[in-house]
Amino acid sequence: MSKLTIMLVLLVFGALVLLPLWASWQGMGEASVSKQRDAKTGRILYVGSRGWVGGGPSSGK
Amino acid sequence: MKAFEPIKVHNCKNCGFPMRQFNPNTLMMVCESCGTRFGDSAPPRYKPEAPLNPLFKLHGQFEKNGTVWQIIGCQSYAGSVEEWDSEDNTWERTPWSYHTWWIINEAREIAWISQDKTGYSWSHKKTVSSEIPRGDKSYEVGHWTMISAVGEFSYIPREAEQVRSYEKDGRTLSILLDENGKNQEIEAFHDVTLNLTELLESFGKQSVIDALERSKALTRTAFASIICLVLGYFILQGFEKTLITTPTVTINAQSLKKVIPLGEFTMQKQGLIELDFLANLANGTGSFDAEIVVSDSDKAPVAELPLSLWRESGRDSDGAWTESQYRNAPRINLPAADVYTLSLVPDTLKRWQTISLRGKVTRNVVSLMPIIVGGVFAAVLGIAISIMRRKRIRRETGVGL
Repeated sequence: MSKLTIMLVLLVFGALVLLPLWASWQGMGEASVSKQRDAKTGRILYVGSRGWVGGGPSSGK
Repeated sequence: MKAFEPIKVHNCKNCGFPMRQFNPNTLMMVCESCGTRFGDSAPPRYKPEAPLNPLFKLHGQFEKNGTVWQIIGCQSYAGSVEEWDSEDNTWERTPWSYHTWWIINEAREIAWISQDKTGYSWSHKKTVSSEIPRGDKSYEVGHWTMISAVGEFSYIPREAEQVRSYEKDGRTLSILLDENGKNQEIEAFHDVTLNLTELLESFGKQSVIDALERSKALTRTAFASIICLVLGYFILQGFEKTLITTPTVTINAQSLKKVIPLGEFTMQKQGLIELDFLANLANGTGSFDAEIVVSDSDKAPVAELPLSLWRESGRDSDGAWTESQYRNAPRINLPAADVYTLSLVPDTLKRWQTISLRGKVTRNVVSLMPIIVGGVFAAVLGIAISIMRRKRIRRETGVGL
């Protein structure tokens, strides 16, 4: 197997296996809440997003 | 590879094209420029042409097993193949066509390569050792008409000559018919299929072979990726960690719209959690809806996740049926925090008097969507590369289904 073939195989393997597994471990595609601070008052704000399944979180404090 | 020295050069009487003769036993030459036969001074009404082929071209050379071969002629046949259909109890006729490439080596030995749309095969001439298997249903019977002959031949092919063939297991009995349809000459051949990669190598197409090898490796990688993704998904599930298990709570009509504390948990770093709730449903049809509330240390709600449990029964043409959802496991990505408080706010309880449920909060849970997207992408990529590879083989060799 040539060097180019090995490089292509590793690249494809990385893109098709490692990337989805990493995204899966990070919980991508699920509902999420992020913590932010209001610029004016300095209060913590919880900002939610809906995932592909499940319910949505509340938004704000 | 150096072109062979012709033993003689004949100038075409019609166009003057120098027809090079390589086979000392040649009896007929057809001008590759105008189609005029050796001895004739006028061209035929329809000019015979050698088929367009990315590998085989008249006077082109290739090397196989250390021997250099040169292409000196080509005959094209069209017709049909009859095969016995044992289900319908009849002969099934399929239109088909093939080419026979005449090749010669430096020792001036003749060989034949036959080409149809499925591939190439080396036709080894054998001694005729059997009777004509007329009516034998185990043979494929071919009825052929020669539509073109260009180059040099060691016999005199008639225009539109008729050939009948009987083929079984790569062994062919080929019968040349005369003008009256009687057997004129019988020959036996054993066809050995040529490997297309080896054939490309014979014609010195190493860069094409490398590209095909690369695409084969990539196709295999793409399909192996799907298996790795599934395995990886199960391995990652092994890292799941239970944060808390809630006590069993019983909910009745008085519990509705009231906050029921379920416990506390810590998130040292941001991550995906699953809130898995399992209920003991009461008998009969009913439903229960609630909100699972995650609050921070200031009792401020961070997330509210709906929980819906139900059972339905009925009767249709298939008889009685029951469907239920006794488990709900919403998921959410939470930021890191020292303390999160988990509570349940029952919303509605219909038909049932009570319902009891318990829950479990798990972290390091694995999201399925990227695995599905990755798997689908890998499958599409694998199929796409495979199709492109097949097209490339067809383009580079002129054969392949």
